[in-house]
Amino acid sequence: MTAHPRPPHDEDDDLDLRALYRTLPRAEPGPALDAAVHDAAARAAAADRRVQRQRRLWHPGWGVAASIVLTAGLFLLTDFRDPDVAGLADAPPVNAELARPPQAMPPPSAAPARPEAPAALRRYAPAPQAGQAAPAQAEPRAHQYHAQPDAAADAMPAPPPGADTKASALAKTDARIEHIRELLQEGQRDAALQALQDLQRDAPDAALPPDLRALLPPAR
Amino acid sequence: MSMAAPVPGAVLAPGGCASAAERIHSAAMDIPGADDETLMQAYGAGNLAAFDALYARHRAGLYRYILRSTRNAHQADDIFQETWSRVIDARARWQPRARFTTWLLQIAHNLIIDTYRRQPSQAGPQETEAALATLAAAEHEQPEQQLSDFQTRRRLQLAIESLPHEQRHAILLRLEHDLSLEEIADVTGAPRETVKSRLRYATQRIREALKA
Repeated sequence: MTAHPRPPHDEDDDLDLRALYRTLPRAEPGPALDAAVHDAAARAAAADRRVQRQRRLWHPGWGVAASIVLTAGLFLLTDFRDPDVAGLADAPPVNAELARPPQAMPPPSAAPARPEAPAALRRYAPAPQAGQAAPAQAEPRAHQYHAQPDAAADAMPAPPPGADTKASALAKTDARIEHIRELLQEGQRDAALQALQDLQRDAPDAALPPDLRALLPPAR
Repeated sequence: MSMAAPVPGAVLAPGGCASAAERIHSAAMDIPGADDETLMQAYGAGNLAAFDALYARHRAGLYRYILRSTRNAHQADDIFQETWSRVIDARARWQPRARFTTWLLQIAHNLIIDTYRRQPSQAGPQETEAALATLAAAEHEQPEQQLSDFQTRRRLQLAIESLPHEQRHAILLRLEHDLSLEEIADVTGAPRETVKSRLRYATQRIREALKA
């Protein structure tokens, strides 16, 4: 029990009044009032017991068990061989070339050409060493990309050397498909068809969307 | 209305949480020997017998405090019932931060003050007489002694009834419940020195009435 010691104070001179007060008739609540309070307390206690019983019935463990059963049922009823269900219908097939592990880093000579320094800085630049890439060496490589007849390919950014990964290849294919769609929307059907054929030639394993595939002439 | 709100997380009674919980939830709980705070917690845990014991301890004193404060039997019944209703409503969240008695009287006191505010007109002499008439005299006293003591008691009752609200509440809490100055200050929400002053004035007026 919480202890509340009564501190001494100078109000103890009412001891005689307290004694006289205790002789007053002891009024008490009537039986009806007692019964009303008792009934209210009993109703509240009964309501608490009902809530506690319901809490016992709806133990959190039941919810966990129901979730496990539901999840297991969904797994059993799902046919993952159906590509529509697996959500793989629109996924492009794996490109064998792209799936190869990345090659070793090319020698420094194959590094992309550095942008030429301004003339003022070029005076202080160190002399190119034998192993370093020279702008003249990068020049044919740049021409190699520009020599492609595909106009759409010209618009594509040159892939970084040594970063021929699957992700970048897919991104490039997606960009080209997006470019073809833009050409179609602009009414340049011939250019779009040409870009589509170029895309199919460059990436024969790439899965084309059905609407673009329909534009291609039937295979012989 | 401001009420002594139970404070969640308050410190439990000595003995620790585990032992207190065991005492409360035990079917073989020592109800007669348990203190008020333990009984209230036991009732919060669903033990109706604990509430009955608590009610039996406080029903008479609380009723007298309300009746002598309001001087109206009907109002006293209503406030008495409402006080216990609030105790019942607070059963689940109540924590023994202060004495149960102080908290119970706080509820009743605030309800009485609310009644004053809603109905500022005071009870008339007839209502006061009717309320006081319900207080029957003790039966063991002799006729002459009864007459003298009856007059003294009547003077005391009338002196208490004639006090201002604040002084009457303070002296009733003192005489009926033996509360200390600090406890009366807690119940009424007044500073300790104010309570002390009210008690001094009330005591002085009652003594003057008894000497008259």
